[in-house]
Parts: sequence; structure tokens; C-alpha cells
Amino acid sequence: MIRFIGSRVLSSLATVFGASIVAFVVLRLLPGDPVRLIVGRLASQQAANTMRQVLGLDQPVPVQYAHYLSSFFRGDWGFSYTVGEPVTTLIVSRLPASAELGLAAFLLAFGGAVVLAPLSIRLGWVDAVVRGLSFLGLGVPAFWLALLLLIVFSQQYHLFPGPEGRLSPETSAPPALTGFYTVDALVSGSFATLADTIRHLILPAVCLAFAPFAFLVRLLRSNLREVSREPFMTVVRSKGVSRWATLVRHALPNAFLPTLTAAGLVLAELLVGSVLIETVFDWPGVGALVVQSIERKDYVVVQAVILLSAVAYVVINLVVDVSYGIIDPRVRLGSSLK
Amino acid sequence: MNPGLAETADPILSVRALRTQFTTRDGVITAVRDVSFELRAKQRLGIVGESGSGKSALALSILGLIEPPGRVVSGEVRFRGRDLRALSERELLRIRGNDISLIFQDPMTALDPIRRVGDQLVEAIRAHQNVSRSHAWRRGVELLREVEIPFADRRVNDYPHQYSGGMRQRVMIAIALANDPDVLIADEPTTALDVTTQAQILDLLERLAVERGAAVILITHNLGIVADFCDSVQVMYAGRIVESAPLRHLFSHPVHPYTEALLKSVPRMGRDKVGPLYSISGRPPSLASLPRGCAFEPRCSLGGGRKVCIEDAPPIMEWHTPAGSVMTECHFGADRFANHETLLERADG
Repeated sequence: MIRFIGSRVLSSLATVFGASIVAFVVLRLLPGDPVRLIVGRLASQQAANTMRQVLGLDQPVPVQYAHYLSSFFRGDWGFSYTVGEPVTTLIVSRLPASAELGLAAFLLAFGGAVVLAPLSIRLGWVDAVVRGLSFLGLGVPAFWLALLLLIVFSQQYHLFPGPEGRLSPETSAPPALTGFYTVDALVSGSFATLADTIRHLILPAVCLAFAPFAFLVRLLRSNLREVSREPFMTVVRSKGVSRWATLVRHALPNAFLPTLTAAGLVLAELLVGSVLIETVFDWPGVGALVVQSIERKDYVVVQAVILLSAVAYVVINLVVDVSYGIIDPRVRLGSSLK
Repeated sequence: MNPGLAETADPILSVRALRTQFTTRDGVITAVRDVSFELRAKQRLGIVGESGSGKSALALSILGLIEPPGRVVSGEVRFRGRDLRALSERELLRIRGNDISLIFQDPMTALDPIRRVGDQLVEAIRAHQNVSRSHAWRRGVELLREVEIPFADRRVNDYPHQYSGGMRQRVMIAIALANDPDVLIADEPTTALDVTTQAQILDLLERLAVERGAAVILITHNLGIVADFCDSVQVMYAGRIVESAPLRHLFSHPVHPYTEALLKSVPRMGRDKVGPLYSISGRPPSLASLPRGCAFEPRCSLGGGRKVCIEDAPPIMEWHTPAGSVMTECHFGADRFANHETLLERADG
């Protein structure tokens, strides 16, 4: 088990290392001189040279890379000259918004898949609905769905707020503890704020969840079908256990294992924020920050976000791999037998 | 046992004209074709046939465990007088694993791979007994001891992949016996095991069945196992029972030509004739398109393409002998039975 975890940690480190090279190289390849972007076109050559020295851009490329990597892991992700704040501060202030939305979307996608997949095995009409939904979910672009939902549920029927971010303009943010408005509102006991937060979360979360839900429910459904054909399922039924209990107690956990990896990937993707959905809903998250930074050519921020999402991916995959080993006795006990 | 007494006792399980079909892309396959038989308390009945003769489908049909695209189309399964086919799924749940248990062919795939052996025993116990989890767990350990799992109190915590094939089959037996069933249906319980393990498992099964007074239906393709274990035998061919007889009668005087061919193809130690093993020519018919007449006709050494065999389904014939009744489905059954009887009489005289 220790060896298993050790090898996963090593391969994760290799992945982060690779991603850091990509982020670093892409930044160097972009057209335009970063120094000129900061000091402006009209600044003197001397001012530009001074800035170049400050940024360490006069050093050889390998030295720059080593410097970049070490400062990333020290938590120094550079300084955003367009906002006038360290990138770290900027991202930390944006991350909770993205993470809260991503987590809500994940719960919808994953919870929906876990509930609907077994139902679709037993009930024909649920299966028809699930198949239709998953077909749509894999085909419909999220931003288009977002606009559609806004037109119908916000503009037409006023059931949900429009694209105004995490709260209504008249609601003030709950005292900052975790940065998750739902948690903060609940802790501080302001239920009106909690309700407003949830109302604002629903539409973007549904848009964000739709495609991953479609993917997960298809996967889980086909895994369930496969497990249902296993001889041990008939054995369980022959003990006098009902069809439904057999499905939930035996088929679902067995079908769940191969779904876990996919669920981890989905979670990693959702947590670091969605560029499109955050833009449509004016959600003040990391995705929106990326868009702003690209528009303002603030590449230091983009670079940091790229590396950050790579780290998130790798960490969550590592957690999935290790938990896989804990959940599946065949992996945990290290047997070659199936 | 006294066969005369057994004959008169009420059957505990009686199957009447049971028909099971599977709808496939190639058409409707009738795996069980109007099968009828009776099982008396404590009887040990062998059902013998080649792969694909409908033995397993018959076992699952009895308990209503046939899954779509298969379905039991018609017939009755009476257990203690109640027709199981007329019961609701809820009522059937109380019978399965409680009154009638199944032991399956392949122990490697018959247990849930991610649940502990103990949990799978507890599930069987708690499905029918209103006891606490810890009580059921202790009972599970006792059951493992009864099926001779060494260090049962420790091994109960193991997962199936930590057990050998033979041990897993012991666990299957423990699960099947957890609620002291009246009828135990063992579908090829030893096929997937090596020969020494086979013998141990059969001994165990026999001992436990006798101890608990359970009737056993042993489904197998192995006539040797039947000879050791059963007191009467039914031979299945293409979804029908073509011969049914007390053990000794079947082995000494097979009436149906298929039974005779099966017996001839069993390899025997020390047989004087050296040569290739006897095998039945041809292959079992496709259950999707059965011959109009006798299903065995294309492979039969007796009929020789006679019109009656090709055109007409053979009649059911039944005779009563001192050892029990003999039934067969063959156009020549009467002649063959009479021949055997005269031979017997001559031998006696």
C-alpha cells in the first residue's frame, strides 16, 4: 500500500513538472514584450531595462525557469500590474466563488447520476428520460444552455435571478470565513442571505453540471448493466433478497468503482472554474479572472491559473487513486486474483 | 432408504408442464419444454444432461429467477402444495433461500467480490431470520465451521478473492444452508473444481443434507457424481426429461437410447477394451429449431431414420418397478423396457 501511494505521488509530481514547463514555455512564446506591457510603450529604454532586471527577464531561460518554479511553490506567483495586486491574493480571493459553484455542480452531476442510473435499470421510462438527457448533455454547449435557461427561467418566468453574480445587488455578502457564501451565511445565521445565495447558485450549477452528469450517468448505467449480468447477482437474489436491494447493495458499489476515476476528473475540472459559465452569469470566479486577464494581456495571472489547475487535477487524481485502493479490497489487499 | 415408502409420500416439490423460453435475435429458444417431475422429502434426485440441455434454466425457473429476455411461459411449480408461479415477487422472496436454496456452478463468480464473506452470510441469514447483525455474524461463523472452513472466526472477515475455489464453494453451501431449506438445488456444484476438491464438496453436501433432512436436486453432466450421490435420476435432452428412473435401474437398464449412449461414453478404469472413447455422434439440436418428431432422432442409433421417429413426438411411457417408477419418452420404450425385464427375470430364474 505504501509503495502504491509512493508511486502515485511520484507520477503526480512528474505531471505537475510537465505542466509547469508548458505554462512557462507558452508564456515565453506569446507575442509582445511583457516588459513593454507593464511599463507602457512610451517609457524610456532605461526604465524598461530596469523593469526587465526587476522581473529577472535578463537572466538565461533555464535560470528563469528555476526561479519561476521555486517561487510558484513558495506561493509567490508574480504580481499583476493590471490589478495592482499579487497574483496569489487575486486567485485566493476568486477561488472560493469558483469552488463553491464547481462543488454545487459536482453534487448535482454526481448525485443525479448515482440516483438516476439505478432507477433507469429498473424503470423503463426513467431509462428513456436518462438516455435522452445524457444524449442532450453531451451535445448541448454549456454557454448556449446557460443563455436558454436565463431567457426562460429568469427573463420569462422570474423564477431565478439574472446574470448578477453570487448575490442580488441589495444583499450584502455574509462575513467572510470560508469564502463559500452558503457556508458563511449558514454559520452566521443569516438565512435570507443563504436563500439568495442558493437561488443564485442553481442556474449556473445546472449548466455546469449538465455535461458531466450526462457523462457520469452513461458510464454508471453501462457499468450497472454489466454488473447486473454477473452470476453473483443471481446468487444474491436466490438468497431471497429483493431486486431493488440487490441492485443498491451489490450492483451499485461494484459499478461505482470504475466510475470513481471519471468522477475525480470531473471534480477537478469543475473546481478550478469555468470560463464560459462564469462569464455568462457574471460569476466572480477564477474563470472570469482568466478572461479578464487575457483581455488585459496580464499573462502572469493566466500562467498561474494554468499551473494551478494542473495541480488541482493531479492532486484530485492522486486522492482518487488512493481512495480506490482503500475502497476496493482487491486493490487494497494486493491480490493478483480477480 | 425405503423406496416403497418414499413413493407413496406426498411430493414436497412438484413441477408440472414447466416451459421456459428465451427471446433472442435468432428467434424464440425453448430451454425447458413442458418438464414435469416430483421431488419427495429427503430424496436425492440427479438431473443429468449435456451443456445446453436446459438443466440450469430449469433450476432458475423453479425459483422464478429467470431474467429477461427469458421467461417462464407456462406450467406449475408446487412447493408444499402452493403454486410458486402464482405467488407475488414478495411472497417468492420468503421462499427463496429459506425453503428452497440454490448452489451455483462457478464459485469464482458466485460471490460479490467487494463484500466480506461474513457480510454475504449475514445477508442470507437476515433475509429470513429476524435477528441482530451481531447474532447473524456469529451464526455465520458457525456456518463456516460447519462447512469446514479452517479458522472460521478469522476467515469470516476475508474477501472472496482470498479464498480458494473449493473454499468459495463451501461458502456457497453455507449460504444455501443458512436457513435450513427443505429443498436444495445444486447446479453443477463441483464442475469448476479439481477432482479431489469435488469429492470433498460432495461428501460435505451429502453430510449436511442428511443432517438437515433436506431434499437435494443435483444438476450435473457427470454420471459418476450421480452414481455416488443420488437415489433417482432424470436425464434431460433438449429441454425435456427423456428418462427418469431409480438410480440402479437407470445404470443397469437404460431404456432411452440417449441414456444408454451417455452411459457408454463414461470412461472407466480397468475396462478391458482398449480404444477410442465412445462418443455420441452429432451435436445437440438447436433449441430454436427443434426437429418435429423426437429431438434425439438425428443422433439416435436405434431409430435409424424411421418415419415415426422423424414425424411424431415420442409418447411418455411409465412403468412401476419394485424400486420405483420408470419413465421414458421413446417410440421403442415399451420394447426396450420389456426386453430388460425378461433379461432380469432370466437372471433371477
